[in-house]
Amino acid sequence: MIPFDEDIIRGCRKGERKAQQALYEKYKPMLFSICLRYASGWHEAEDWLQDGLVKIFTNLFQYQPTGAFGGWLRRVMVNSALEQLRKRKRSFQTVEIGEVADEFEADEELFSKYREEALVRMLQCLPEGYRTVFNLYVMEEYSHQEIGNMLGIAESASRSQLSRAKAMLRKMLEKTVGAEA
Amino acid sequence: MTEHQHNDNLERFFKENLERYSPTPSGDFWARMESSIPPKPSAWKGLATSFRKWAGLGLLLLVGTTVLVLWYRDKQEIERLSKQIAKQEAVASQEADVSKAAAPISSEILPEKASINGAANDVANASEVADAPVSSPNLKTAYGKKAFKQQLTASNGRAGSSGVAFKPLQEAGENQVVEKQVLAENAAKELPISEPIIDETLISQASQSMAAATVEPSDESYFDLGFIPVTDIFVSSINNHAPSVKHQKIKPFGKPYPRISVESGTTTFAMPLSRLFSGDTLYAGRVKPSYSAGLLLHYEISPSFALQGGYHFKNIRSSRMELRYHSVPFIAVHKMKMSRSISLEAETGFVVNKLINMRSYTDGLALRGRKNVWLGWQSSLNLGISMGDHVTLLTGPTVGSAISTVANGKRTWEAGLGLNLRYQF
Repeated sequence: MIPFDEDIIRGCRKGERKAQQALYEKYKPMLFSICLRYASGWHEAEDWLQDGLVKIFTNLFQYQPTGAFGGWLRRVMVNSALEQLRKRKRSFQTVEIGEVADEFEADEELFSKYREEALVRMLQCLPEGYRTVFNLYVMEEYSHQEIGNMLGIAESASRSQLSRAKAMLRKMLEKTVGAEA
Repeated sequence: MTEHQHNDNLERFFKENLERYSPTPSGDFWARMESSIPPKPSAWKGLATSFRKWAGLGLLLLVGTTVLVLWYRDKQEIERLSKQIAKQEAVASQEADVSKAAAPISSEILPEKASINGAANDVANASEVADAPVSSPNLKTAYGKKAFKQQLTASNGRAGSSGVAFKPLQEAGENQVVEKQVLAENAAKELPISEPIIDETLISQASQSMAAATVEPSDESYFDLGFIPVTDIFVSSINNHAPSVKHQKIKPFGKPYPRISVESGTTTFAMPLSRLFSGDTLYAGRVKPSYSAGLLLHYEISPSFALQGGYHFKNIRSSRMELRYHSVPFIAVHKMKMSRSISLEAETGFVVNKLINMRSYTDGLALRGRKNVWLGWQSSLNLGISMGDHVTLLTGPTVGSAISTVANGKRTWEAGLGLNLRYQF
């Protein structure tokens, strides 16, 4: 039986381990997929998930049930992932589109069987800055102005990064399955 | 357009597929996770720790400043008193010199001591016979001690013209000498000792001068005994045959009102931003010490009331973000004088805050729902410590709250400690 969010929240606020585990079990696919999209590999994504969950448990007393709990969790996890990226002091350097596409190892079989996983792999092959901007714009639906504010870059830089990210992904897709996408 | 459409398709393709993606972490993930979960968080504990640290620092600053100010004041007071004592000693020395200057007069008349004594004896005899029936011309002129003293007063006035002070002579107990001098003069003029020398004009002048005598609160002679200024009256030497008193304008205690001061300083305060961004956990974070600093124009309307306004730069911080504002306060001040150098000032007023920028340096997300301008209320209770004629140190607690909403339709509050220096022109 899947517990209600209210029960999970109440239990987590009291520090109950069972409630924390229930939260993890219920939301782990969503939370882990976010981590996988922003991280560059599986292990790194697990580390980020761990950090993100600790943040969720320690800050849950601040949550006010004005919006969906899932949305709040998603936002916290995205913020946590961005925080991890900031710790690395990444740079938004320009990378040649062809270089990335050339290094990408296409796997048509994987794509046909596990399309989502293959797409995540493509994302993980993108340079960090491009991947971050693509995730924020396409998946979290932020505007370029907001992305610029978040990442401390110009709005035009955000547009440019997105454009390059999409060009790289297109190349990777073409390499994998032809020009279908 | 085709390219744009293609890009939109790509975006849609990725979004739809990735949203369906439901990966699962390794099987032992939760076992590893459990060990890293901290015990139940206590928001108040973190807040209290932060406040304890800064309250301790603030208290240390306050105590240090107070000690420094008191030490400085004591030093100034000691210097002032030393000057005062030196001045009084100089005055006393001058008076002693004057007394010494009068001494030759008495020595001059010593040779005539015999005749003076004779005259004095006559006076004594006269007083003895004052009640007796008048039977001889000598006895007719006998007029008693009262008349003699009046004569003495007038003669003393004349003595003043030669630099002999009225007060020192009396205090030195040399009236006897002067009496003898007067008698000697009278004898030299061959005036009958029975004839009274009463200069009514001089007496009148002296009376008028005494009546017009003004008590002068002189800065140099000012002793601070709490509230009560103790003034001393300088009676000048006798001029123009009359014991005049030194006349001076009464100086006001400082410049007249209204007057203008400039106040500069800083306030360290805490503002819980989590109230504003409670829906977004990582926006606010833990409360961190915020500060504002700037310059205010202080317009004193009366000794107890003033208005002030100016500019402050305000930086509101939490562990994950900073909000920077241009801040323009309009404050009314009520002053309560506690002693000559200590005052208590109650301040209250409005503050208009205009957002300069915000920085979310840990999570990197843009603020949504923020207001660019918000109105706040602010009050403080300051202890004013005078550090000289122009400078006052002000320190005390300050509290405030937002009147209009700051962000997301929510308000917040602030509490802190201020430290300001005021310079009066």
